[in-house]
Amino acid sequence: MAVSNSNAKQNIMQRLAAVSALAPTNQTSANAWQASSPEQALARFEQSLMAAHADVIILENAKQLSACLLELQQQHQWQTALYGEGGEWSKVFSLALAEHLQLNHFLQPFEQLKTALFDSTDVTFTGCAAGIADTGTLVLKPSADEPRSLSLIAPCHVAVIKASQIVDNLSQLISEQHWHKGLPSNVVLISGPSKTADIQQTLAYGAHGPCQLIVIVINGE
Amino acid sequence: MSVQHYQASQFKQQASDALANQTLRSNFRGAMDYLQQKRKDAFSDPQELAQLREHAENIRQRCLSKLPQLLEQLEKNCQANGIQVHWAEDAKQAQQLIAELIQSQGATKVVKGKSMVTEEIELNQHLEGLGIECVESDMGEYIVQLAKETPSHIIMPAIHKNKQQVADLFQQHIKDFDYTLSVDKLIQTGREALRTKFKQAEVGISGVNFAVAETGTLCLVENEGNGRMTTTVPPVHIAVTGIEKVVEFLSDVPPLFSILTRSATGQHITTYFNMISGPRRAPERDGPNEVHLVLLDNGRSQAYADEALRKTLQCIRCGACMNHCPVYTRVGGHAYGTTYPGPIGKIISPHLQGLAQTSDLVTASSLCGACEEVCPVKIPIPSLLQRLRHDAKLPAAEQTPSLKGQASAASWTEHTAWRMWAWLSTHPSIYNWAMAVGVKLAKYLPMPMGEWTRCRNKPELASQTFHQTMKRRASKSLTRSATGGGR
Amino acid sequence: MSETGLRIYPSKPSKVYFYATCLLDLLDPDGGLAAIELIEREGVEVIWVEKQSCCGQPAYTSGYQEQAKTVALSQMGLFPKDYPIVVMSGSCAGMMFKHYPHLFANDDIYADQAEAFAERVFEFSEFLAHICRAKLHDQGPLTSVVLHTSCSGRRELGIHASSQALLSQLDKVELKKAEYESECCGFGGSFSLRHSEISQAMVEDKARHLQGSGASYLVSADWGCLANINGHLAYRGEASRFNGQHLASFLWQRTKGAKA
Repeated sequence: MAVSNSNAKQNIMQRLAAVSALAPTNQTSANAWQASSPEQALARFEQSLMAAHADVIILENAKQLSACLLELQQQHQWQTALYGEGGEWSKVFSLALAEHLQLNHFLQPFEQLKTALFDSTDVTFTGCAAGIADTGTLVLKPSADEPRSLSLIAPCHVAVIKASQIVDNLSQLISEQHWHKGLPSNVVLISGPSKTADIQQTLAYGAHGPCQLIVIVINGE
Repeated sequence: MSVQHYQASQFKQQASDALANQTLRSNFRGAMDYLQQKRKDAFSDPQELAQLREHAENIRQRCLSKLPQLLEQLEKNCQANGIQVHWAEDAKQAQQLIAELIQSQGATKVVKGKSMVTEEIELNQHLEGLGIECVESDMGEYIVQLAKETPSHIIMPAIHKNKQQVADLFQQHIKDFDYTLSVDKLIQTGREALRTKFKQAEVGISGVNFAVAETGTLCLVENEGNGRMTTTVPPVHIAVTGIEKVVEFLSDVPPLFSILTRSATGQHITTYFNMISGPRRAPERDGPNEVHLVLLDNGRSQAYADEALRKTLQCIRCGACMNHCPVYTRVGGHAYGTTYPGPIGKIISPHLQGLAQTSDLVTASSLCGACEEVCPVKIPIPSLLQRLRHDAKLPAAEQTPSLKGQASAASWTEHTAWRMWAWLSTHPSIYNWAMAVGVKLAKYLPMPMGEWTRCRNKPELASQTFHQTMKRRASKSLTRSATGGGR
Repeated sequence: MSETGLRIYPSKPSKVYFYATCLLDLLDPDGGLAAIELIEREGVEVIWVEKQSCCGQPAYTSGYQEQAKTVALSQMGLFPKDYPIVVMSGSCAGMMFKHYPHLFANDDIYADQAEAFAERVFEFSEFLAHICRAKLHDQGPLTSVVLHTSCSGRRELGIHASSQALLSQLDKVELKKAEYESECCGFGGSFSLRHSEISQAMVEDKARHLQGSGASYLVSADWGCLANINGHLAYRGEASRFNGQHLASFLWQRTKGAKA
């Protein structure tokens, strides 16, 4: 990279290092929200997401997913959809919907799909890496299987998550999954559809990302 | 396109103009009332809030105490993740560096996510001069950019405008805009206009909320999705941040994130929390091919050098201090003439611009303490304002350590007056005599009260001072005890 | 929530020092006398030290720390016994309680003295409510009052509730609430002169909100705020019985003649 590199770093570090001994700091902790039962966690997850204007559908088992997807398709009249081929629920997406709408796979590099994604995709489908009950949050770890833009560009994003993937809070997730050992190129926390209150503090949805977020929770095997 | 320019040195005039603008005042009052209520609702449990504030303060202080090491660690881990790290000592270096990064791509179309640090270095104006289009994609920033203004609030850049004003602006600038006052439709209009820009953009520029040293991760907090667009769609992402934004551990992030969003807009969480730890890695199909991180000093190391002023750097940019400030509520953000307005702006800007430019800002506070009360990381803003007031007056010989513009507001007459006041206040018999004479003669002398009487009558002095009253009381009670009387 | 809200109060002393403050000295000697009557009625002897002048706050907030220290030092030397010092204004009490230790924090000789002095400082309403635990017996006719709490009282001392607690003991006085109760009145010492237009906007709002409460009387435990608000009411030609008075005056008028 041909960027002019002066002694900026050296000079900055020199100024910072010139500071004499710093006072020791205190160790404290803060309690994050904890559920007393999985039912309570699921209830909070659902309520928080709904408060953030997401649609939440709770299914008793994975077998109901196909029918649910089909019903959603008919309800919203989706014509074109995109999903990643290697995701946890990809087979279900494909089996349930392939005959009912134009279902594209995210196989090419983004550059080749960009126009289609921006201009002619009604809905995208993904799974989730985890959920956070406290704040009603989906945790996505995008990869080649389910790229980042699947949860970002189309007007509607449908995410499927198992109730067993829901943890109480973000701190717990970081420590349980050992995130400090290294992260994928992108991890994204999603807590509702895109929104803004930038005009006269009036909440409006669908600022830049999806206008609609539909979360399907599989509560059982 | 030159941006409307306000200056810190013109604060008094700008504040005066703002105070006379009734629309502006009602826009701000309404917005601040709303944000204050949102924050209050988000912290319903005072004990939890106290615990979280203390924890957040400790995290920030710990991270600052290790700042040089953490910056080295951040650089190393970012590089290991494939993020290219650059350093800039001041605004000019940062402008040049970023321009070179863009030009080396042959790029001319840039989109920007909301980033106050790029406002601080006036990046848009610089790029524009080089023929590079840099479009703000945050709705508020977009509105402000169309109006050729700067943000008036660090979280809600267009808070000074009402929907009518936004609609008028869209009418003027967006082709085929179907005039409406519906906020939903206005936002959809912005969405469509900006989607075109996202598709075309060759470079995306963002800020950083937390840079995690432990993992080499850049965290971005947002609701709209423009930050994600900016860091996902264009082939190159340049993140710009002040050196103070580094945190040591990933586990430091959840408490800071939680107190940030709740303090800022009363949200328990924002729609998106985007953690970037590198460019697209094979076999990934999207994300930028290059990620750059620009670490900016620009006066921060000056604040860092002093133990008290270092607390300024604890700031996580939530804006709660301005939302609760009685001065900001009345004059709005532009009057300050600084990138960061409000209470936090008054203590940051002297390091960015020097005390000579900002000496009116540090006095523009009644020291009511509302800012410190709500600060999520407990920055003692009123104390720091008093410290800066002192530094603005301090004779040059006493400079330790040096602060740009120190003693620039020194005034021999004022200094002499305070010396005389101190002398009088430490000589009781003369003090008491002077006060007694003062209350006697006040009726007969024209007492110049200057600015006080702009909206107030002169205070009505008592016919005798309390000191005199107490003397009489004592002699009366002596008389009473002598004659055997009592109360 | 305030750190000082956790302050542990001593039991009622037999003697206290009285710190009138410079504004009360010039503007409201009767308020000072009323405060002394109220404290004495609680069986506490009040000691008046004539040599007191000003706490040093005006110089401190103007950036003249050396001058503030000179004055602070002279004041600290005037109260040699370990009696509590009752201060007639929230902002002066805040100066002595919070800023004296801060001013002398790095001073080898006076740091401890400033800390010890600060520990003995109590604002008037705080002293009456929390240390005397005064029981007030209202003797006056039915009326209503609105309270303005100073920012120092609220945020430096965390004692905004004590004035309220005292007033709420008056059973014929309705305590009315003003909008934006916790917002600053715009005084801020030299701020009101240096940034007079902003200060004006603040005091205009404050006066409107206080009057909007519909109360018959305005009280406050801080003469800085009162001089500001009263001055503005008078300027608008609205000086009347609504004109603010010190909490001590109001409490004494309502309860004099009653037994402690």
